[in-house]
Amino acid sequence: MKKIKKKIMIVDYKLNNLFSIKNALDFLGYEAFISSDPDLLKKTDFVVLPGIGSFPEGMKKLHKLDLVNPLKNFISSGKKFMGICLGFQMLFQESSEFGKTKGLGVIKGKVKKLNGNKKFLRIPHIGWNKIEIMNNFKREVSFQKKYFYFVHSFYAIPNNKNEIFSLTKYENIKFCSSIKKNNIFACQFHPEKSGAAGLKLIKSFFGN
Amino acid sequence: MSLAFRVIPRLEIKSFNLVKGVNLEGLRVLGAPEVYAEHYYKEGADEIFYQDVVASLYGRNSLNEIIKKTIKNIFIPLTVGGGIKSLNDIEKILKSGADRVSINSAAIKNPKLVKEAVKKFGSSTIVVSIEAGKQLNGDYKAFTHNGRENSNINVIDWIKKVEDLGAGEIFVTSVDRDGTGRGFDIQLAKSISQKVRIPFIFHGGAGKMEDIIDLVDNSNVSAVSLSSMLHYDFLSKSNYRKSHSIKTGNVEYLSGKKLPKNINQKSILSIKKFLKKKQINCS
Repeated sequence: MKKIKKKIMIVDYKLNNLFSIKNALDFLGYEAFISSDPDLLKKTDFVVLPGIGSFPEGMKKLHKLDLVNPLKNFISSGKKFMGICLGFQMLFQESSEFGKTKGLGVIKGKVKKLNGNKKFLRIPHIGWNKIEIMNNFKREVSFQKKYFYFVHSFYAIPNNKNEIFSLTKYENIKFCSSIKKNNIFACQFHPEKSGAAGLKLIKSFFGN
Repeated sequence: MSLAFRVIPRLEIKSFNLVKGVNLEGLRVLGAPEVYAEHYYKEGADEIFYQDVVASLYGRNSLNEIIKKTIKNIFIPLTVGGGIKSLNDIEKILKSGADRVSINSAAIKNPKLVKEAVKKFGSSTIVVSIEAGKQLNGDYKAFTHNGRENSNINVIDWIKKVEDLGAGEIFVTSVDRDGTGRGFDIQLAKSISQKVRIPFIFHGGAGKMEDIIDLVDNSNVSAVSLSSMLHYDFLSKSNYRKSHSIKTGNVEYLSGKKLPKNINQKSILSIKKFLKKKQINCS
């Protein structure tokens, strides 16, 4: 693929294997690098905050590595920022995973457990499920509904419905599977594991 | 169910080669696994399953290198199994870039490993692989070491146990159908569906696309895993036979010997098209 002269920092908060996202960005031609250094956030064009794992553990690591304020500053600078899975959830104000934990608070709203009371809801939600693009974002992507790969047990509820980029239905729940707000795009699913559609979505957000 | 039904190519690996046999025996070398994996990814596979078929026999594992090569070009989940004995082995495989690991022999020997692995890596990361061998009296027993050793554990009892241990999914191979093209063991798939809730992937015996419909209609399987149908399709339709440089092992299929007739050669693309036409919800 054609080289794109844009640096993307993949934020490493020591919880995950970051190969998949690195390989996907490399494949698309970006200059992707993995780092935990808050200073490098000032020197990169774009940022990806990935992650699988628990919300409290993720926030703990971000605090420990002194990444919380630098990440907030990066986001308010207006440069493109992508959050994936736990990196999506941590943008919200708080999560109820193992008691209440404060998130980055960049997006107003909460993270809750997928309704575990319902007998037939299998948790975690693992596999390929459809995302349905909301009306106000339909012009930004070339498809209306497509399958993406999910692995999660918690879901986010944004206060401002206009920030919802897509919805996904799992059994009896319809939840927000991605959000878009100014320079932020963040998703519950894994675009780096969702085949051609996922790569296309990454590319359409970061551009050439 | 809103989740898509998955089609998962299974690639059996011996040292650095993709192999395939009948009833997990008589292995023929088919080529480099990463070449096949990339082809399947491009054709719309939902996941790739790598199984090192001799790792548990010889206790070695050359998979890490293959995994690293593979994930550079495929952007779907990769599950890897074969010879995994400890949490340390699991960590190594995940660090090489696999998304999930599959455990068989070691889980039977030491069920606690499954529980510990789930606790450490999350249930979505741990798949338990089950080699089901049909006995003369109609019972199914769990086999290990690629269908060579009978553990004498009843398959359904074992699946129930695995479910209790917290595994995220099970991968069932019917040993006596594997590579034969005789169709899936529907009786086995049915009894699993009736007795357990854990999602399962079914493998072994597919010879034509209709076999998959038969399986879906008669069980609540979450995914089908295919090998011969896909591998032989790629081998016969691509130029791979001309471009490879593999000389070791039984390379008769690679050298141009006729492929088994009882297995219809089908691509993932045409299989998915067929499933959609039959109203099966797939990506």
